[in-house]
Parts: sequence; structure tokens; C-alpha cells
Amino acid sequence: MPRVSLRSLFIAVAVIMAGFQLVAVTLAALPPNRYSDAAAPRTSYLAPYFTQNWRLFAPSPVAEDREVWFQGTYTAADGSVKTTAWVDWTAVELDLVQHRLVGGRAGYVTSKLYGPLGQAYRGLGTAERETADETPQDSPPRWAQLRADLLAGGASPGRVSTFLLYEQATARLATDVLLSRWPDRELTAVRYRLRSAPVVPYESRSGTAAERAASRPEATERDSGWRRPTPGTAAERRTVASFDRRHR
Amino acid sequence: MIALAMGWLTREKHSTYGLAVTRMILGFIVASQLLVNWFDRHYTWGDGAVWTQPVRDAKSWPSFLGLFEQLGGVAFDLAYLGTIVFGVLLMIGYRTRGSALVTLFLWMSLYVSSPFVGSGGDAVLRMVLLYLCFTDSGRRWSVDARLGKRRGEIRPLVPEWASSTLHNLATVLIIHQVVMVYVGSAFWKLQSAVWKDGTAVYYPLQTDAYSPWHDLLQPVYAFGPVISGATYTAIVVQLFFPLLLLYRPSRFVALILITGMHLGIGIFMGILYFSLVMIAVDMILVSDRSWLRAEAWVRSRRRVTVDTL
Repeated sequence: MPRVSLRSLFIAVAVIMAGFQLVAVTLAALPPNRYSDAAAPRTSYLAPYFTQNWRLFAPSPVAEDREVWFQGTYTAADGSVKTTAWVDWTAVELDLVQHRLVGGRAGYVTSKLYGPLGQAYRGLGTAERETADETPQDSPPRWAQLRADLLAGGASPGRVSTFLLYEQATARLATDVLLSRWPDRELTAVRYRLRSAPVVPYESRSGTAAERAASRPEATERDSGWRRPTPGTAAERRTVASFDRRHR
Repeated sequence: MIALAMGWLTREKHSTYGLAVTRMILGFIVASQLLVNWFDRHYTWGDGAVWTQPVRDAKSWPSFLGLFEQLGGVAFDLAYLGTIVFGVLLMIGYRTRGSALVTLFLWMSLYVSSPFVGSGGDAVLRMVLLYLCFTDSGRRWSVDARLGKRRGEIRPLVPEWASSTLHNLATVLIIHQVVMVYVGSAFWKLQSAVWKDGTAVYYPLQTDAYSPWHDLLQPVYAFGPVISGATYTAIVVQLFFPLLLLYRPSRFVALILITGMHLGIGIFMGILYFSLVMIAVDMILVSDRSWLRAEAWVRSRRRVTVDTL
């Protein structure tokens, strides 16, 4: 049997490992195809560190303004329940992007929340979506109750969990934002709105500002059901309020 | 053939100047980006990002990257400043390998603390930074190189053939990764009607999030030839990037086009750091000979300036 030197062994192992990584990255980086799909179990080790997602404005580039808005209800001094104005939080964050050569990283937080938030909602069945949307304004359910209600309709537990974790995170941000705008109000319920406003169609690009604005297709909106207010820690609320003051 | 490949792999370290430039730009990106975001650091990654916790906990990042999640207030600020300092150390190449490792750890810890802040540029940055730890990126144009010259050769801990093998393989993986970003992205684009009809670039340039100057530059963005030129250039350059790299003159053209494309994307779409990361990695593709020529040119210009003064 030929003698294998430590040097040869080291080089062989390093080359094999690098070669394997090279092939795995190639397969994972390409759009879905039969070879990548067949190799998927062997390339799954790439996630999350080496996740290959290079769609970069493809196949369909973003063609709408995606906004996340927040609204709450509160008990007024006379004991009646009132509703706050909507707060366009995406507009606040976009202050870090507009007319800046180097945009702030916080400028895209709700833009990036928009996609998975809607996706988690669409992952529910029609009946479960109705359950999630029609929670009562005067007594929004606890998270455990909402989970039980969604599961009672036969929804997949995995999809319900994914939906709820995005809802919980968004309800907490909504609460922090509304408390930043109206610190003295005692919130009784919060909700969010996802608004998608398509851009001016390509064919209308050369019109006047008024013509271009008129040519924009109508925006679509989805309002979530009412959720229990979930205030963050004092430090979290202070940070959100300070961000709001600087960028609103 | 095998002997030739073994020789290439083990005898010397390749692209040392290109890697030095990549290292400097990546260090600059880490440090400057955190400085630019200083005033909003707590909302972006700190106390103000705690609301993302349910989503963050569902991601499969290892728990040892939880440093910034555990910190608040002054402790967070110190770790944040530490990341800036290590980014600078990486940029100047002081204790380069250690600085690269610590920068990677701190940057990743910051990255995982907010799941809605990351971008494609961060993904490339973390992959390349990890590969960079296996290279000798401090060999040229670094404080380490200067110190090494002053104190003379030190007997290395790892045999030269082993360190060269790791260096060269890591360099291949970095180049391959950047090529796959371009090729993968081009294939995605080819599946879309708006990329094929030459109008795709128009759409993001009309949005508030990806067009910081659209109110000022609307006449330019409404000019069809500009839009179709940018759209087709993006597809062609990305798709044929690996082929253009094979021949020296076409490689030069490819690097100029792709750098121009990145600068355009960075400035007009407001994602300058993504562009800088890609430019940083592309610099490895410039040959050592070209970097040496550039260095000689800079030195001669400096001499002329000093003589004139």
C-alpha cells in the first residue's frame, strides 16, 4: 500500500471540501431546476450562513411602495373608546433613505417586515384568515386564545405559529409607536395596515406630475384584526420614541 | 497536470494584492457603516429592535452569536464601538487574521440581532469575511507587512504549503461566490418579461424605498434609452461575467462595466453599501501585476508632486 504523507492528505481533504462547497454553492445559487432540487438535501447545510438568494430585483423588480401603518384604540377621559389616527411608520423610516447618498439601515425595517408579514397571513386558510381579521376591538384575544381559535379551524400548527410570531412582533412595534405618539393614552387595542401603492406605469412615465399621479393604479390595503397592546420595555419604548422624534 | 495544479496550490499565495484591497474595503465598510448609523444604532440593532424577538428566535442562528441581543445601554455601545475598532484594524491590516475573526464575530452578532435589517450586501460580506480568515490578506499593504519588514521573517507556525493551500482555495471560493451572485441573479432576471423587454430598472426607481432621488431625477428615469440601456447592461454583464474573466482585455472591460453598474445602483437606488461590498470582492480579480503597476504609478506621481513642491 502506498504511503500517504500528511501533506498529501491535508491537501486532498482541503481540495475535496472546497470542491464540495463550490458545487453546493453553484447548485443553491441557481434558480430552481431539476439538478438543484435533487441535490437540495445535500446542500441544506449551507443555510443560514451560506444561504444563496440572489434574486436582486428579479424576476419581478419591486414596483410598488410597501407601507406598514399602525392604529390603536384608547379609553378617553369620559370613558368612551376612541380610535387614534393611522401612523405611517414606513414614511418615518424612509426619512433615512430620501435624499441621502448613504441611507440609514433602519430605513428599510418595515419595508422588509411587509413581505413575510403578508406571506404568513396568506399561509392561513380562508376561514382562519377571517378568524384572525375579525377579532373584537373592545376585547382582543390573548395570543394563546387566538392560537386556539386558529387551530380549532383545522389550520396547520406550523403555519399558525409562523403567523403568530410575525403578528406578535408587529403588535409590539405598533404599541411602541402609538405610545411614542400618544404617551398619555391608555391603549386598549392595536392593529396594523399593509398598504401597497403601485408605481406610475411605464407607459405614463413622460406625463406631468399630475398626470403621472393620476395614472397610478389604486393602492391595495389590508387591515389586520385587533390585537392586545404589547408594550416593550422602558428602554425599547424610549428608543422608538427617540427615533420617531428624529425622523417623523 | 496534477503536478501543475499542486504547484499552483501549494507553492505561492495568489492574488495577495487584490485580497489586500478587498480586506481594506470590507474593513472600511464595517467601520464606516456603523459610524453612519450611530444615531439610530439602538433602533436598528439595540433596545429598539427587541420587538423583533419572536421572529429572531425562530431563525436558526447559533446562540453564540447572541452578544448584541444580551446587551443594552452602555454595554451595547461599547460592543458597537468595539466592532468599529476591529473594522478599522482589519482595514489597516493590524494582526490581520485575528482582526478578521473578531470583526466577523462582532459583525455577525450585530447582524442576527435584527432580522429586518439584513441585505444581500450583508450576506456577501459575511461569506467573504469568513473565507478571508483563511487567506493571508494582511501580506500586502498592511501594518503587519510593514512590521514584518522591520523585524524580519518570523518562522511561521503553519508550514508554508499548508497556509498557501488554504489561502488559494479560499481565494477561489471568494471568486466563485461573487461569480455565482452575478450568474444566479442573471438567470433569475431572464425569467421575467420586464427584464427581457428592457424596462425592469424603471420600476424600483419609482419607489420611495429604492430611489432616494426620484423626485429630482424623474426626467432621466422617464427617458426610455437610459432605462433600457441600464436594464440590458445589467443582464449581459452579469450573465457573461465568468466568460469575460477568462481573457485579460475582456476582464478589464468586465470590471469597469460591473464597477460602473454597482456605483449606479449604489447611488441611484440608495444601496451604496451593497455596491461597495461587491466592488470590494471584484478587486480580487485585478491581477497582482496590475496592482503593482498601479502602485508604481502612484509612487511616481507622489515623487513628481514632492519634487514640484
